Amino acid sequence: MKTDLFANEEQKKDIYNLLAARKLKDKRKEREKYESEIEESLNICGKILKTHGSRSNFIEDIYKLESSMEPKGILPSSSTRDESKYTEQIASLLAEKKEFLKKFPLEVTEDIDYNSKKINDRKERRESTLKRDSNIIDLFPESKNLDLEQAVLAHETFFASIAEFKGEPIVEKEEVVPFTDNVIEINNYRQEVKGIKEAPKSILKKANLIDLTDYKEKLAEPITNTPLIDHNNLSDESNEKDLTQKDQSFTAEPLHSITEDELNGTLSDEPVLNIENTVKEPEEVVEETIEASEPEIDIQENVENTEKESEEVIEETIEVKEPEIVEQEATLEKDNIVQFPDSNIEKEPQQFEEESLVPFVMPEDITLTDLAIALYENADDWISIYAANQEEFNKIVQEKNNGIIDNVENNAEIFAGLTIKVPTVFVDVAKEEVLGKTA
Amino acid sequence: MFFAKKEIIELEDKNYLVLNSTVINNEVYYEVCEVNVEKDTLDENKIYIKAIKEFGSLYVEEVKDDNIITLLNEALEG
Repeated sequence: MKTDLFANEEQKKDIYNLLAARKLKDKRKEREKYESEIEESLNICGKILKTHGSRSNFIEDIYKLESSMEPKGILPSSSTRDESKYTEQIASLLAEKKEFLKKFPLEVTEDIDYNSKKINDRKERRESTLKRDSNIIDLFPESKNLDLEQAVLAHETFFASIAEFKGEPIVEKEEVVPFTDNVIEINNYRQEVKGIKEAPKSILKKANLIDLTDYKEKLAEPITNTPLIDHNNLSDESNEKDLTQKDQSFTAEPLHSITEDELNGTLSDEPVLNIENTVKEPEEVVEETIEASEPEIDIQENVENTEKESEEVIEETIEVKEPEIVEQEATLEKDNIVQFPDSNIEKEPQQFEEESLVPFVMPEDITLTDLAIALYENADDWISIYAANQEEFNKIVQEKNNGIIDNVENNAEIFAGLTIKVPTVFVDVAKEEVLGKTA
Repeated sequence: MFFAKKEIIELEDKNYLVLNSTVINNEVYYEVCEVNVEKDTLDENKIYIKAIKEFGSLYVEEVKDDNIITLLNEALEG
């Protein structure tokens, strides 16, 4: 940071002249001091010579002659001095001085030599000050006649500012951080972990991450690998045969026996569920895409059935089934093994709402307990699923397990491939109440 | 393993949901996506990160190396 010392050029010139005048004044005082010392030395030499009988103070005479050779005031250099005029006089005086000093002892001659040399030395110093004065006057001619006191008063503010000046402010250098770019890049690249927490279920569902705390991989893999029944291809002979052979007992009855009005109402109320329903009118086809509330089940059946296909399947199964059921009931009564009081069940009030039941094909290695864990996170709630499918399950138990209900919830083979109705809304059902009916 | 699946990693200005993890060249990598817990939203873009414990603090770094990303894609999506 640069600061201008002078307000303008004129002030600058005045201050320079003032400083030059101050210098001339100092040199003048210095010259006066030298002249007084010369005069003192001449007096000492005069006293010595007078006490020893000298006719005159020839040291002083020589000094005056030399001084007269030089013009007063500013002297030219000694090499250019015109000394021819007084050369003879000076030479005779020097010879006289030499002869005179030979007569005196050494102590006296030493004093005279010392003072004469001192006189010559002070003369040279005086000449040098005069020479410096001439140089200063050459540079600043106005300083020769300048009044110092008035000049200082004229620039009083300038000298006051100098007195108050405490130096330029120190500018601190910025710290140079090496590899600044790299540091910033690392900070953006690497971030500190502030905490870890459990993700909410809503986000897990959006991320398609199954939220099963107790039952994870065991259930997830078989369900995803289970082939779903494609009802669109039910018209194929092979599928039709497989279906009728495998799930004969179940397909004999439609999954949902709700009317068209109920269907429209439930579909509009609960768009989440996708329920396949058979409708009386052959031209009307109900299509609905289902998103199950539990993604791990992921039951998504595209159940676009034509009326003919469904009716054909139903008719065939009913034709096959009815006589079998009659025969079975007859044999059961005879054997007295287990009786299923179907008439009583029909009279019982419905514990499950039809719209909350979702069809689900039981995989081969999934038990009712597994399904209950997946749905309700409680293995004991398998009874709720059983209650929703009580009629079908009772028949299956009767056929495949000789009516033995014990540990049926952990038997994966008995219900494998069966399309059951899964209640998406949990209904608390007493175990004794359901199993008591079967016993 | 610093993080488990389904956990949310809280950083200074964002949160990551751990979707998956795998080990490549003795280094554990995590497949994550950015989530906003308050708004209940998640970003569909998935990235890979790795965890570094340094001077008592845990840091995560996004994987930028294309070669490692290719290996991670094969391991986690293949």
